Amino acid sequence: MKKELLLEIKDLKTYFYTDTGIVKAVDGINLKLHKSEVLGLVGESGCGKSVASLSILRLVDQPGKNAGGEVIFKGEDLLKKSEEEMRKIRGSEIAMIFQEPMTALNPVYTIGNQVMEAILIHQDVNEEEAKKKTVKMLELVGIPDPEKRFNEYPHEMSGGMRQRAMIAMALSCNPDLLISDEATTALDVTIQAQILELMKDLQKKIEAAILFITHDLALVAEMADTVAVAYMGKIVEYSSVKNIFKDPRHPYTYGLLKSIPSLITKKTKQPLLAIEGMIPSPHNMPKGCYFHPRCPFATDICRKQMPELKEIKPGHLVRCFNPIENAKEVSKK
Amino acid sequence: MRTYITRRMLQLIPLMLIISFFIFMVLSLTGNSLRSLVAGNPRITPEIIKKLERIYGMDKPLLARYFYWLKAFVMGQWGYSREYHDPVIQLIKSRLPVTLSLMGLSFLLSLIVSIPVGIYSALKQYSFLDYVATALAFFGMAMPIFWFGLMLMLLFGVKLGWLPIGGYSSVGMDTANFFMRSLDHLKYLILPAIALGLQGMASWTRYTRSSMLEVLRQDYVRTARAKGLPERTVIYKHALRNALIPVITLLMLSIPMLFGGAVLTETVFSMFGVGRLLYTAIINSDTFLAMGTLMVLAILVVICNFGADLLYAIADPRIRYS
Repeated sequence: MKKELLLEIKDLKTYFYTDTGIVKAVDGINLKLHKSEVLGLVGESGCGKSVASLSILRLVDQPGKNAGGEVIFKGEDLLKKSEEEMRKIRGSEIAMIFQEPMTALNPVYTIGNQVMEAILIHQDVNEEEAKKKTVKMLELVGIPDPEKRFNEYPHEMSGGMRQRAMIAMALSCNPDLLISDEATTALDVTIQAQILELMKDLQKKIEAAILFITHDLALVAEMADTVAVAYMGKIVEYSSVKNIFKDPRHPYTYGLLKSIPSLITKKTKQPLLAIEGMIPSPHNMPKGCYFHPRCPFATDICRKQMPELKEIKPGHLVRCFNPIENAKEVSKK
Repeated sequence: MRTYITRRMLQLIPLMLIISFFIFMVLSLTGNSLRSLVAGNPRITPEIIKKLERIYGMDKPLLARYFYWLKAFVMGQWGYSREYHDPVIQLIKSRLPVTLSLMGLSFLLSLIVSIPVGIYSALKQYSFLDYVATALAFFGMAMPIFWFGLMLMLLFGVKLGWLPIGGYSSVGMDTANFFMRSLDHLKYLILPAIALGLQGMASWTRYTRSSMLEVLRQDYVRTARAKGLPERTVIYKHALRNALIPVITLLMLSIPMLFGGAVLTETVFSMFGVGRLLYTAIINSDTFLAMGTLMVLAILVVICNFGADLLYAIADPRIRYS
C-alpha cells in the first residue's frame, strides 16, 4: 500500500497546566495518515483522544498547551505555523465534526448561515454562489427540502439532521482531512448507522482522509482501514483493522474487544469480561507502564519501565513487554 | 414574530389595570386627604367636609371610586395638584423630558461602559486590567447614589468648577435654539447621569464578563474556530450575541431600578423631573399628583419591559417561535 502521506504526528505532547499539577493528556503520540485513508483512534473516555484531535488543529483551550512534537500535514509542521496560516487551514484543508450536534451549532444563527460562513471565508465566491453551494451541500448530506432547511435554526432540527448539517459544514470546502470526534456517539443507533453510511459514501466521493475518533470498536471495524488504540495519552497498539480484531497483542486492546457484548457470549453464557479497575487519575499516574495496575499479564518490569512502541510484525506496533501471542488461546482460559 | 408581538402587546392591558388598581389601593390607605384640611383650617366645619366629600365622590365605596378614577384617567383628566395648583397632566408633561433625558443618558452611559469592559475582561481574564475592572465594579455596586452624587458635586462642581452642581438649565437659555438648549441641558445632566448610571455600569460589566466567559467555553465557539473563522468573527458574531441574551434580561430588570434611582438623583441634584415631582407629591400627600406620576412611571416601566422583550426575541430565535 504505497500511498501519499498526508498527516504525520510525531511524538505530539499536549499538557494541561492546572493548579493541581500538569496533566499529560496527550503524551507522545505518533500517528501516520495517508491520503483517503481512514484511521480509527480508539480509547476510553479520558484517554486523550479528543485533545489529540484538537491539538492537530491547535484548538486546545487554556490551560492546555502543546508541549512538544510535530504535526506534519502535507510536509509542513502545523505547530510552527502562525495563527493566521492556521486559520486558513482550519475548515478548508482540515475540517472537524464534533460529538454533540446539539451544542456544536450556534443556536442563534440559521443552519444555512453557519454552513455558508465556511464557504465564504475560504472560497472566492459571492454570497449568492455560496448560498447555492450551501443548498447543494445540504442536499448532498441527505437533508430533505434543503432550501427550506437553509433558513431553519438548529433547535428546529433533530439530532441526526443537525449532525448532517455539521457534516455539510465540514465538507463544504473539500477538506483533505476530516476529523470526526465521536461524531455519532450522541445519536441513537439507527441514526448512527445512517450517519456512518453517509460519511463512508462522502469519503469515497471527495477522497478525504478521515481521522475517526471513537470509544466504540464496532464503529472502527465498520469505518477504519487502520486502528490506533490509545491509553492515557499514549498509543498502545497500532495496526490494520483486520489485525486488531483477529490478532490483538496489547492486553488493553484485548480487554476492549472482550468487553463488547455479542450474541456468542450470550449463547455460551460466557461472562462479559470487563477490564478490571479504573483509569488512573491523571494527577497520579502509575510508574512504569500506565496499564500495569489493570493488566493481568503484568510482570516486574512493567511496574518499573514504560515499554516502547515496537513493531512486532510488519505494520503491527505494540507498546508492551508481554504482548499476547495467541488471542484465541487466552480467551479459552 | 408578529403573533409574539401581538400577544405581548395584549398582555400589557391587564397588566396596566392590575398595576393601577394596586397603586390606587395603596394611595387610598394613606387616608382621606380632605379631612387633613380640617386640621389646617379651623373655619372648615365637618358639614363642609361632608359636602366636599359628596362633590368629589369620596362617600362612594372604594371600588366604585377606582372605576370612576380609571375612567377619568383614560379620558385624560388626571386631576389638579394641590401643591402646585396646576393640572397634574400638565405638570408631568413639562417634567417628563428632564427625567427621560436623565435616564436615557445614564442608561446609554452604562451600556457604553459596561459591555465593552465586560467583553474585554472576559477575553483577558485574570489580566491586570481585568482585576482593575473587577475592583471598580465592586466599588460601583457598593456606592449609594446619593452619596456618590454628592461626592461628584463636591469634586467636579465645587472644587474643580467644571460642571454645575444642580438644576437643569442655565439662566437665559429659554430663548436659545433647540441645539443650544440641548447642549446646555447636557452640561447639567453629566454628573447626575454618572451617579445614576454607576450601578448599571458596575453590575452589567460583571454580568457581561461572566456571560461571555460562559459562552466562550461553548462547543459552538469551538466549531466556529474549527471552521477557520477569524477570531474577530468568532467573538463578535458567534460568542457575543449569545452572551448578550442573558444580559438583556438584566437590563430589563434594572429599568424599574433606574426609575427609583431617578427619584433620588433628581432630589440630590435639585432637578425638577418626574421623580422629584413624585417625591414632593408624597411628602405633601398631594394624592392626584402622586397617582398621576406613579401611573406614568408604571407605564414607562411597562413599555421598557415590552421593548426588552422585543429585543430578546430579536436576539434569540428560540424565543420567537415558542
